[in-house]
Amino acid sequence: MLGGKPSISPTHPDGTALDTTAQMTQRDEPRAAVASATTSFQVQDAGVTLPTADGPLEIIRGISFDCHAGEIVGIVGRSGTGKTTLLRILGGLLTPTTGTVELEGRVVDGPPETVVTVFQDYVNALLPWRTIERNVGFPLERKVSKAERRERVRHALDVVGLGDRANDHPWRLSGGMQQRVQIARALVLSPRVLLMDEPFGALDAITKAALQDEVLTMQAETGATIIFITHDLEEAIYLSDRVFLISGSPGELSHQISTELPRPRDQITVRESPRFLEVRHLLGEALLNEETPHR
Amino acid sequence: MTRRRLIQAVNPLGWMVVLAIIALWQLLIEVGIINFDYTPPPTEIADGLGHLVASGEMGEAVVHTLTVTVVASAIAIAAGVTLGAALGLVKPVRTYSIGTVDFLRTVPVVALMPVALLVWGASSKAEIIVASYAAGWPVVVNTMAGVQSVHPLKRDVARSFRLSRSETLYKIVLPVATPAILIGARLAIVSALVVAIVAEMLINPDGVGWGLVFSMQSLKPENMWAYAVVAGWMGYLMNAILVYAVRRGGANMGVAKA
Repeated sequence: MLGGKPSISPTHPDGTALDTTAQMTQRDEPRAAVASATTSFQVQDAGVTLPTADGPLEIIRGISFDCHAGEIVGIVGRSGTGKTTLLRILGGLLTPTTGTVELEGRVVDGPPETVVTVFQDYVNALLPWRTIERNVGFPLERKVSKAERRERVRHALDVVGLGDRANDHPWRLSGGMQQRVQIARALVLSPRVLLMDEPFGALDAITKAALQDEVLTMQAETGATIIFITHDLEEAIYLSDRVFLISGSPGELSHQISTELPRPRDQITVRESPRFLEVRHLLGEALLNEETPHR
Repeated sequence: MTRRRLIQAVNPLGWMVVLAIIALWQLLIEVGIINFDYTPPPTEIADGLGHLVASGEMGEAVVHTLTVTVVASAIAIAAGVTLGAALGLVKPVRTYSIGTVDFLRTVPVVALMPVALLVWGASSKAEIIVASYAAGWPVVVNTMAGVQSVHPLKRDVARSFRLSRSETLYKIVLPVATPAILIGARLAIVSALVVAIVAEMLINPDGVGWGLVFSMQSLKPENMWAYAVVAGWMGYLMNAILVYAVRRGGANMGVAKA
């Protein structure tokens, strides 16, 4: 129970936590784009059309949002609504066909140095010919001294609980462990922005909860902005300051819900708090209404 | 390989079949069922082999053929990896040369041997050139397939960590392609040996190939058979060593499971 704690997250000092009923209207108007020191991403009317065998296909359309430095945003939505495509344009791996993506006031036209992406397909994202240690140290090569690299790799592996598997190869680890290697490879860079595509999908419930809290702790220490995709609504609410719902085809940002849950968060009390259940209710309703879009 | 696995790799029944065939061969000649002028019994072949080894002829021939095989393989692997990588990674190179490559690699190399003889003369140079020509193609084809098999996500990983083009090549593309390149190299070395022996028969009178032809022409079947047996051992041993080396190399690349 929240008992007397402030219900507005400290990461929203300007009161962007909007009235929830207003937010439940379809197609929210994007908030005014104000570039400030605390703005991380500014996305303006971004859309992606990709060529396919059956001609051009519009994947996402008219996505606009601002995101504060240090904010955690969870993206939910059905399969095939373009969530991964959205993450790819944020990570600079794909250029939007329309609109713009800015990070800290600069247009994203390639992967920015301060952004790290954790991919959904951990098998292909890791390098099977390298040991776990050398996989995690990979992004630091030629950037920091060997001693510092060893130190940072060891710390990152300890955080994800794989310190004793440093010399194994990835294919000797379970799926969940491999995903943790990929998370360690991201943490080792202490990124200002962490983009994660279904990072905890392959994990068991207990490991998942532990890593969720690790991510929150890491975020509290580094103040990183985190945007992640998940199919787990409760995970989205538990971790996020705002939950985005992408729906339709082409995918549009149909709902933004501020969770207004305080930090630090606790797996048990937060998940039982009235606000948590309220947000889950709103999100569930939004998803349910999405099933009958022509009502 | 541990000693236990080495012992397990020996197949006693298989060896008994080989010994039985040799014994049968000896027996059939002894009792006169086989009676060709130029088919000596195994004991005579062993005699011929002993003489050739004692006189140093066999040693010289084997060293020559192996040297040509090693030099030609090295050239084939270096050139093949370069050409294969260019074909696999650079679209214009592929567009303009894949037709030529597909034509050239299917030309029987034996057909080019008279050409090589006229151009470079009856020399080890000509022999090395035809052997590396034949050995290069499997490396080209395997390298090309290998560098093209890089999963698109690995390129995303390289991009998101802002790797340069050359870093991407050395840290992502070549490691991914290495198992395929190793298999290409194995095929290359075996075909370099075969082509070297044929070239020694047709264009460069030296080595094991010439030993075969020379003892045939001088009507010494026991020597001819001895050369044939040695050529067989060379091929078998070389292939066994390479299979083992590729397996070791592949395991170290972390692809044993792939």
